[in-house]
Amino acid sequence: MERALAMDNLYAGAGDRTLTDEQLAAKAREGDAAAMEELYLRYRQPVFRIVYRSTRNIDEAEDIVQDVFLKAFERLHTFREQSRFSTWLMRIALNLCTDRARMRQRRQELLEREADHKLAWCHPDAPDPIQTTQQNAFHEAFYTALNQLPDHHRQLIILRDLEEMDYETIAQILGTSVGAVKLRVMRARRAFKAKLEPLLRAIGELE
Amino acid sequence: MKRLCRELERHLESGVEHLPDALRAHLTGCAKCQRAWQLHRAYQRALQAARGEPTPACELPWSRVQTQLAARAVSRQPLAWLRPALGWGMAVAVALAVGAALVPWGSQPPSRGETLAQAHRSKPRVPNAPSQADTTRDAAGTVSIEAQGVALALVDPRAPDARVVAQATPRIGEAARVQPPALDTPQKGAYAARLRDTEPLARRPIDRTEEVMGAPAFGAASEPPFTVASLPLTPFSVNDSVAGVEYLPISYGSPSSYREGSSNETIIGSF
Repeated sequence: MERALAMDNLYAGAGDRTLTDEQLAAKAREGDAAAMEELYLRYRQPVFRIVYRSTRNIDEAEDIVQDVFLKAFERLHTFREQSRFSTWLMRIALNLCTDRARMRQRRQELLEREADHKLAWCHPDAPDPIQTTQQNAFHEAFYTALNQLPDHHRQLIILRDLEEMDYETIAQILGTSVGAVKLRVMRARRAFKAKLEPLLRAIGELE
Repeated sequence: MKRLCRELERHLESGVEHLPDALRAHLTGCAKCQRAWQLHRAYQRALQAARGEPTPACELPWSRVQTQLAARAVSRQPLAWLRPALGWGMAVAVALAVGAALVPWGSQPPSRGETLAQAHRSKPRVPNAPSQADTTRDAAGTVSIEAQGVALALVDPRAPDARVVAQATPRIGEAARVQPPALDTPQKGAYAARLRDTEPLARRPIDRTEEVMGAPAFGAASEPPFTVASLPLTPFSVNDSVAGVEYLPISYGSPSSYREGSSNETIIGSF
């Protein structure tokens, strides 16, 4: 999270940059629009990056980012200052990603059922055959395996292995202990490798 | 050998990129561990590639979020106002209902909107009592009576809903006279006479000793008695100042069906 925040310092802040997130959250709770904007500009890109890792679609990711901030600002009164604002926001983002993934999966199942698998060639998630080079194939294999994971495993791979968050931050986001997070990450990696192996063999990355 | 396999597995799960020499030597003799190590390396390469992939910038402007926030706040405002109002409204409605249930109806003077049905219920009805209302039935099944100078009809096949009757029926009280028309006199004739001159209706004498509507004794003995009163179609109201009754004009049927001598009647009472 610290890394994520450090990468997002190229914004024109509207509010007071010297205030902490929690101070800004307190002002935003009282209806201070400038504090809201400052919080938004601080966390827009970190939230977007995590959401984009999950969706791989810019428009959908922006929609989710908007929903995340709408939900956060509407429910600021429920924010307990026992946790950090950033972890609270990330938890909202992950929950919305999970909801959206379920909706997408349901829609995909409906599409497949209606078309009886005859429209698989025009599925929006299907890779473009022209752009499928070897490098892209490696990339696609990675994200295909990632998307095949259950939500709780995928989130852990994104937070720990892609975003390189420390275990403590992940534990705060997920509201669990560090030991539990380590165990879950281990299981998620095992599951991910099991999904990834046949895909990598298919494209010749593994012997 | 199995101990080294487990140790390698533990190393791989912890995400290391380099192995100790002992484990590296073990890889050459164990095909299973070698496959696991290759997969781990591929996984690490894929992670490196994914981390290095540039993430597009989020171009969602604050103004869009702010607009959405304002719109949602506005849409929630009526609900916030409505909830306590609904609560108070329900409380008032319950209080009114309880109060209305406790008020004795008999002690109040009959109101203007009271129906023939209520007036009739105020006195116990004796089934098959032809003395209270002499009726006659014409060929169409309509039984005609007269009350207060107004032609009333008993229509058995289409008894209207009591709620409709309650809205459409003026109060006559206990003083309506029910006079049977002559058996051989067609009902249409009485209507035609009333339609031509509605003014004498107000001057008609009222016998307050008689029941409004008696139980008609027509049809089979097992048939439940009921009474339907109807008014002739008239474009203007009829005011009976003596009885304090005002008949309002009631539309019934299409305008083309309103003509003198027609049998169209507006049903105003049914029990």
